[in-house]
Amino acid sequence: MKAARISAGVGALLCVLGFLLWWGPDHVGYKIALLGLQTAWHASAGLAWAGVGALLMVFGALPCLAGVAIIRGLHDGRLGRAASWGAGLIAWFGLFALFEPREELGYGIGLLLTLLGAALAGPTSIYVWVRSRAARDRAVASAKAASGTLLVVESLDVHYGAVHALKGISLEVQQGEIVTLLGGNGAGKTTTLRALSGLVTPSGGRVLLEGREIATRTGALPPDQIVRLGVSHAPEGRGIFANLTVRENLDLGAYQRRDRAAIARDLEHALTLFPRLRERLRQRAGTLSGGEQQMLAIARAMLARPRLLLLDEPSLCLAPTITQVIFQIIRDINKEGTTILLVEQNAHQALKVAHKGYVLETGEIVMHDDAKVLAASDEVRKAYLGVG
Amino acid sequence: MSFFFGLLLVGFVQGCLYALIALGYTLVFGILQFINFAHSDVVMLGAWFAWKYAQWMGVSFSVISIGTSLGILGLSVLSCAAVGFTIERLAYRPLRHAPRINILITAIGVSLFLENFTQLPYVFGSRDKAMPQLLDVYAGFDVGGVRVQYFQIITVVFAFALMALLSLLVYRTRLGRAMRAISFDTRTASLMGIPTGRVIAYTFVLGSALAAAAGILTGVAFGSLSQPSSTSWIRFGLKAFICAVVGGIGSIEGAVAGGLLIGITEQLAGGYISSSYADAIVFGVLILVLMVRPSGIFGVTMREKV
Ligand SMILES: Nc1ncnc2c1ncn2[C@@H]1O[C@H](COP(=O)(O)OP(=O)(O)O)[C@@H](O)[C@H]1O
Ligand SMILES: [Mg+2]
Repeated sequence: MKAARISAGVGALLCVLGFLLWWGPDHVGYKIALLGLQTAWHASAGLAWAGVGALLMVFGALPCLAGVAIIRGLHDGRLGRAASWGAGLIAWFGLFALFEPREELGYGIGLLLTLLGAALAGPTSIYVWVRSRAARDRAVASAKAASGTLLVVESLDVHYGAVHALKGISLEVQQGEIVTLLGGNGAGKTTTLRALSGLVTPSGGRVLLEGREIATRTGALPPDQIVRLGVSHAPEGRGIFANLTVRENLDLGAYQRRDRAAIARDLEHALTLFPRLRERLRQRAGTLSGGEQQMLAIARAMLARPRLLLLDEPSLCLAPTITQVIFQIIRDINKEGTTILLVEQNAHQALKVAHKGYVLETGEIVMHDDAKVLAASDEVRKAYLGVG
Repeated sequence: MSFFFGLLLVGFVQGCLYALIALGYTLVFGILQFINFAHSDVVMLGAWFAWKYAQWMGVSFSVISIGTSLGILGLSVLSCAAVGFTIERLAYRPLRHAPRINILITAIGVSLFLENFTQLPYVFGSRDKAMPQLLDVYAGFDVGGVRVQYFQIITVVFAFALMALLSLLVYRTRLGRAMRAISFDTRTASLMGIPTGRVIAYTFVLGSALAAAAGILTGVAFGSLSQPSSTSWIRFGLKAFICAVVGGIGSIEGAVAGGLLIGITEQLAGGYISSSYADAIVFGVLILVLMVRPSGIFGVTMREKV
């Protein structure tokens, strides 16, 4: 896929280059070619730094691109491989054209390159287009078909320097559930979410998303790639970009997506869920009230169209009526098919909406069960529901 | 009066060049909160790359066609963009989580490296050189006793076009949105799925390209290039940095306003008071502005960046 894309790019580049060589105004092509020759001469003068310099030159990029295309091609499908080999060869060929100081020959090769580049770029672009559509359809289909365990956390350890914040916690989230993670201040709830979204690297254990390792002791995927895999994290303290407008904040939520029509639909849907945001779209997000900022944070996280939504204390510092609204919306979002991992100190509300709960104390899971069972258990009632 | 307008014109043109460079300081500061001391060396590289490419293309010093000029300009802007990218990748990225002072010292190191490496005989050499006239800088016309050169007009139009493009990019595109988000909070930006490392690299590329353009225009206007480690480059970069600070570092409008303010002040001071005090007066303006508005003209709040 990527190889095909690259070779399409190389092809297009060659087209332009060939055209310049062949027909460039003011013989620019020829002069650029001379430049290439000079570069090569410097490189072969036996000075190591000149070699590096030559690589940096614009035309150094050609063989590099070809190399990349070839390497990528080795990992890709047959057609992609063939296309990238072709592009690679043509790129080398193009390089020779640049070394050729005789004008006529340079122009002839330029013409040839134009034709070859066009022949390569055209079909591969079509191929890329067809493949990417097919891939998208497949992704949609597989997302529909997938069910069962979405997230597995296996004896996860996190250290902040000497602070042992998570001490081997394990948990599981099934497709379609709301799972809540309860615990007092400093229990490690936020740290857990950070480990899931790639903001901290665990010092032990691992995190699996649909069977795929996203974080282990040896390293975690960077946050932007985890977002791409369908995990969206509304961080503690809301993480609103106060210097941007509400609309821009929402657009950032969909940063990874390219399907404009679907984004517009999702935006419309989010604004129906949170009508207050619609009135304030052009306002700076920093001027919103706390409740509105929380709504914005959730709406923004939803716009990534996540399969797993991580919410960190959405009810923190909110008036009770707003809290009710937020929890209702969490339930609605879940009904529409999004799995949610909800971190809360408000155990009463969280256990009402959740299917399952985990209780975290100083970095260890001390209890986990169905939400109803937890809500009825004496320990939880004493510690978190203020009953007792 | 024509003396005054003459100075104003020259100051305005100079201010545009300062603004182009100041934008690079401001973009990087807005995103990483650090001052890229190697930025003034990229300005120098821009001009010297143009010189080198002109040499290699066998450009003679008198007649150059527009096509070749643009080709040389484009190539050296691209090369500087590549240099900016490389500096970020090799020198600054590994220090992303290090204390800020480490990056600052590294920036000074990069600056020293570029100044001295480029003095090698096979790079640019250690002598001043004549700059090929990519355009005829003397052609022009008179308006009420003020000599206006076409080159000045081109410089201003070119600079403003670049600044307009930059602000379109920052305020109207997806990449610009990502840049502003990162400047506010990098961690949260990464949670939006923004590949922060890549966006930071683009910022360096943009800043370096603008700096290169300013460097080339300056070289052509002067007709000669000081050798790579000459203090005149450093002073040039330093003044552009002052423009960024006066305008409010981190603010795009501020960089432009600061550039024009400093450029014009410098010329008027040089013309009416004394050219040897011009620099002192520029620093005086810096001190005055910082006394009245510590965060610069446009630097309203600290979080209002890029
Ligand atoms: N950046 C950090 N550096 C050092 N220690 C931290 C950091 N963040 C959190 N901690 C510590 O890790 C523990 C868990 O914190 P956190 O996950 O924020 O808890 P919670 O979200 O449950 O309140 C606490 O003891 C806290 O002091
Ligand atoms: Mg927390």
